[in-house]
Amino acid sequence: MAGRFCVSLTSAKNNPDASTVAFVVANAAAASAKETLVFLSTEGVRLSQKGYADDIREEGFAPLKELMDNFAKAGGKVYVCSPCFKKRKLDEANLIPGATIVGGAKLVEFLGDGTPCITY
Amino acid sequence: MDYSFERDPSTADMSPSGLARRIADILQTLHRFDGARCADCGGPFCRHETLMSLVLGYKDAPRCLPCLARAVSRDPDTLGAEICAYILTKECLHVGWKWAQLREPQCPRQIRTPAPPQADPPAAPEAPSPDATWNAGDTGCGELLLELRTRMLSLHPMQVLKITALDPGAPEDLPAWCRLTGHRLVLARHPDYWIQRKEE
Repeated sequence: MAGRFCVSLTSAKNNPDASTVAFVVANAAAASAKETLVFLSTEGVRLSQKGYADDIREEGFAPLKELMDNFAKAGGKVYVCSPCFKKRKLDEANLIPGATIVGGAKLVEFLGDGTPCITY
Repeated sequence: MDYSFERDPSTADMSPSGLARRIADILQTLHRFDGARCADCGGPFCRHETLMSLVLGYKDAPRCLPCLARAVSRDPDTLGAEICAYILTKECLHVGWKWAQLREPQCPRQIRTPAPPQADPPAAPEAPSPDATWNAGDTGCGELLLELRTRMLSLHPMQVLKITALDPGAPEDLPAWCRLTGHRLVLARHPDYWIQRKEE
């Protein structure tokens, strides 16, 4: 069952529940042989920074860092919205493994041909 | 002159992806020390001096040119000219230099910009002569792409636009935009991109 799957995440510490569930679903997609992308935008871009997710632990779920590490190990990709990243003056040298700063065209390209996308 | 950069293991990878990785690494270093102070005297230093520090092995603790010169017992002006000449021989460093120049056209240290390289490395494709140029500055994502679309449509088919885009998303986004729209990305040397308008 090849194909692509996108999870769009617009939250970080402001909504640890949504941030965590987004990566749970992304891991489910990666584990189901989907080429999986997590697109971080608005507040979600903060998760692209190493160490930021270390203290996010939502009751009933694995720690977010563990979920994100597993996602990277499973070959998942993380796209980071460039203008959202710049607006928050985050550090390009401190990106988590698998993260790439992109603009809209890269996301549009990934979502071509009817690729499904779920938003948190 | 002993340049530590020469001994960096990554310089052995001559493939296009190796070059792209080195360029990304250099640009990240330049970003990282934006507005930092000299690790030696605590004074300000410019982006050109960050690049010079990288060449001399002070990538993680950049210094101003006078402190660099003192560290290697050289005259600052002579050392600066020598490192500039060295930068011309390395495409990845030259990209970093051009980036610094764009960000800091009025260099407070008045470090001289090296002349364009006399000869490109054999593997490096030659930049086409553009029919139009556009300095997009820091714009990115949709703002950049809409303006780019307008400018491409103002060209005749097969004409080339050279765009300078400093946005950190540009290295991924501009190739993707070209694949989506059918325009041809002739050459990408971040922050410079040469795009040829498609036929029709």
